[in-house]
Amino acid sequence: MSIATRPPLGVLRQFSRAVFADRLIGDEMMRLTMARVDVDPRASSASVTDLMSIFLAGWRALARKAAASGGRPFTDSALLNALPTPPDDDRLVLLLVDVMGFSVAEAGRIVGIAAPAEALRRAREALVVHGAPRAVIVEDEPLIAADLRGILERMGVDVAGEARSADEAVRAARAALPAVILADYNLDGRATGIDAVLRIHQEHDCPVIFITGYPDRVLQGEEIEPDFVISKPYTPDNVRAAVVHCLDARRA
Amino acid sequence: MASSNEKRLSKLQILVTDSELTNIDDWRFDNRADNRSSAVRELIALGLLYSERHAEDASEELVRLRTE
Repeated sequence: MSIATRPPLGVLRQFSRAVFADRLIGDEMMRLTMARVDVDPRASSASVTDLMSIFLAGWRALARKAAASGGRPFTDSALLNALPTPPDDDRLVLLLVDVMGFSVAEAGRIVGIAAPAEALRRAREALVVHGAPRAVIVEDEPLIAADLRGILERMGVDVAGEARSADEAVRAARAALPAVILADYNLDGRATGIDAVLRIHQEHDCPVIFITGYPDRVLQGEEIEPDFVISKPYTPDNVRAAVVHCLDARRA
Repeated sequence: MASSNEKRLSKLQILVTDSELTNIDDWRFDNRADNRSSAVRELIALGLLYSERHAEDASEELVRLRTE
C-alpha cells in the first residue's frame, strides 16, 4: 500500500515509535507534540507529508523549549527534557525512506534539507553493527525466513534462533536472549506474532521489528501493539535500516 | 468509583523521569507504603480525593502543571 493512501495518523504513530524503537515513548512523544501544534490530523486537507513536517518541526521546537525551562517534576516539560532529542538529519532521512517508505524527495521536504539523496547515501554507509548482536527470526514461511537470515548475516548479525510458531519463538528467545527480534505479525492465523512477543517480553526486554502487509491494523494506538513496524514486501535496505536503528536506539 | 469485586485488571504503563521516581519513592518511605505500586495507587487515590474536596484549588494547580 502506498504511504499517501494510508491514514496519516497511523503513519505518524509508526514513525514516532520507530524513532525510539519503543511504543510507549513514541506514543507519548506524538501526544506531547501534536497537542501543541495547530493542526487537526483528522482533517482531510493535511497530507501525510505535511503532517510529518509539522510533527518534526513541533518536536524540534518543543525540545528547545523544554531545555530552556527547568522542567518541574510531573510536567510535560520534565518528560520532554528526559526524552532523547530528534536524530540527526541523515538518520531521519534514512528512517523516512527505508523504514517508512517515503520517497527521497518527500523525506527531504519533511526534514527540511535540500539534498536528501546525499543524506540517504551517507546514512546508509554509516550503518554499523557493533559486536555480533544476536537476533531471533519468527516467521512461518521458510523462504522469507531464509531471506531474512541472509540479510542479517551479511550485515554482521548472528541469527541465534528461528521459530515458526509462537511457542517456538518463546523457547528460541529464552535460549538466545537476542538483542532484536524480527517477527511476522500473523503466524498463519494461529497465535499471532504479538502473542509470542508479549510472552517473551515478560522475561526479556528487546526491540521487536514486526513485518506486516497491513501496518495500519497494528497501529491503532492501543497498549498491546508493536514498537517497530516495517511493511511487506520489504527490501534488504528496509531490514538493515530497521535493525541498526533498533540496536542504536536501545543502546542510547 | 468502581465496585470492589471486579474481575478484570489492566496493566497501566506510564513514563516517569528519574527525579519523579525519586519523588514517588520519597513519598513511599515517608508514608510507609508497601511498595512502589501501592505508593502510586495511594497517590492517585489522594489526588482524586483532593480534586473532589478542593475542586477550585485542584483545578488551579492543574493549570499550573500544564503550562509550566
